[in-house]
Amino acid sequence: MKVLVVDDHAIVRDGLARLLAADGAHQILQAAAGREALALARAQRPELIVLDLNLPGLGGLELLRRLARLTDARILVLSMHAEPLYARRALEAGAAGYVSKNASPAELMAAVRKVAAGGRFVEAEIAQAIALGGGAENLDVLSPRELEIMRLLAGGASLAEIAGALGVGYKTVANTLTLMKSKLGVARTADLVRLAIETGVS
Amino acid sequence: MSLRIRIVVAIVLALVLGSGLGLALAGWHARQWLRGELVSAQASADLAVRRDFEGLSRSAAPARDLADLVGTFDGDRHLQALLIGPGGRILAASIPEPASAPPAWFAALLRQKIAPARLPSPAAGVAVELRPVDANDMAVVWSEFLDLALALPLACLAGAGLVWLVVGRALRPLAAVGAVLPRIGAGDYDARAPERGPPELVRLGRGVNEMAGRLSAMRARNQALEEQILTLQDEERADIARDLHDEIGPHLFAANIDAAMAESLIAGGRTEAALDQVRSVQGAIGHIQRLVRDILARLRPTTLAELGLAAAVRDLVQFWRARHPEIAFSVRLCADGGLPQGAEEAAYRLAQESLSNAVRHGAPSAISLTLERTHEALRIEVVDDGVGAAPRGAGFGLKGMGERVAAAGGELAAGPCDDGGWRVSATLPLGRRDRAA
Repeated sequence: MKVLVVDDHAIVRDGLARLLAADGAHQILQAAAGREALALARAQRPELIVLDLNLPGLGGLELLRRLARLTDARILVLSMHAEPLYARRALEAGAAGYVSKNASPAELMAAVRKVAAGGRFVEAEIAQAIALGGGAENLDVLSPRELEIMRLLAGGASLAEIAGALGVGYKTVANTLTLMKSKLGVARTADLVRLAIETGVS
Repeated sequence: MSLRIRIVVAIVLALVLGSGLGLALAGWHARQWLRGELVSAQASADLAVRRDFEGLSRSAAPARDLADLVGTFDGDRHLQALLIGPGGRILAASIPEPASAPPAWFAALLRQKIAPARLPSPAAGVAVELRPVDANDMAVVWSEFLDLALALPLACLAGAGLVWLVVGRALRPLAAVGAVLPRIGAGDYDARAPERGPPELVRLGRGVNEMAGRLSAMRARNQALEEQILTLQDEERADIARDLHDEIGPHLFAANIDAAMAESLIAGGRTEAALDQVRSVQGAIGHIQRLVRDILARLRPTTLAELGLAAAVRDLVQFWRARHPEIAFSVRLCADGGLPQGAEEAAYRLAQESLSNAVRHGAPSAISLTLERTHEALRIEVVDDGVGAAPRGAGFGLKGMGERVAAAGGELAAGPCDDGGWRVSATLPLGRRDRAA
């Protein structure tokens, strides 16, 4: 089996290569960045691509979509992110499997085998979270007040302006933001803004 | 009672009192005048009667002449003449001018005792009596009194109305200021008092507005600071998350894989082959340890509390020197011990932030750091020869430093040097902290 490993950390690529070699992959290609991965995928036609979404430069879902269009290789996403939102998006963008780097090596190899054989695989913990409604794109998890804050935020309002507009304390807004971030599985306020714009809340 | 009503009541009272005093004075004058009129009328009548008495001795019919004499007083305004016969019998009496009498109480107030004058005539047993008649003069005074009694209350009323208007107009800004203050107290710093009316109230309104403006600016500043703190916190957390995510995560992942492989190799009896995997795990763990130490050092400068400012700063420089051997660091530290904790902390963070900024954004070939203690202040200066202002002007680093130095009561200056490069310098007072306020 010919496998392409795409990750910007050499130590991850090497570890994966050793693991795959021990499991019987006969040729393992490595790419540290998006363009390199595209070039290798086009020239070498690997059967399986193990892809990290957190790459500098061209990376993430865009790279995933391009790889899916370019080759008929099966794509397994191996990401630091264990949030269901990322998994859903990766699967929608054309990945056949999604495993976080927190998964055990055994689960990772199970995923490699399943995806290489033409199946789909999502790490058990993430699959469960998705089944429970995590990673919802429609922001159903937010209360009306939180949606309003999201709308104002996407409109470019500062926290103080939001507090003024809603007639609540500044601290309340800040605390609500923290809660919203954890509900939606994002780390930064900037991610909230991006999500608001993408989902059309604004 | 409102200020306006108080003022009007006071002025009306004064007017009423003044009017009463005026009336009393006018009454006293009226009495004097009345007495004068009656006495002088009686005196001139007296003279006239005595002159007539002189002609009576040559008269052919004295009795008829006396009756005629009394008759000449018919229609007199001030007195009545009577002809008194023997035994007090009234033989004849003149008819004074008729007058409408004033009310009895008013007459009683003005009435004065003037004794009638009795003049014995040359004809024996007969006398002429001159009785004062005050009814006519009383009627004149009464009509004057009525005029006054009508005019004075009208004047009082007009005065009170005028005062009411003027005072109300003058105090209107005061009421507006009074309405604005509770709003400001409740946090509505956009409320403004009117700046018009008398100068005293203009000053009051202006003062209130200045206060509200200052409060508003202070709140805006506080909000900006809070927002900045939250953003800083966000950035700091994101920084740590990135380190954990991008640096520690991959090494843990690799170590995990290698450990699993070593396990299966050992289980398969290939212990020699497993050695490579174990070494690889050790390498990954060593790397993770270094990363964790770096993150901790950034979060908590333990050396500052334990070893003092100079050692901590030296440590800091050592950290950057190891990572950037191409940069020439020069350090001059002349501040040993005995510094207030706030100043030490601020100086350390300043050094940390300036060095980090210089290395990250300035691409310098040399950085010099000076820490100097004068008897009243701690001065810290970081100068580099890298590229200057543009990338460093904005951002939270400088603002954060500014706030920290201001909190310690000091002053911060940062800007490009004349010959290129960048300079950050701060002076932190070592005296009492409350100087900052």
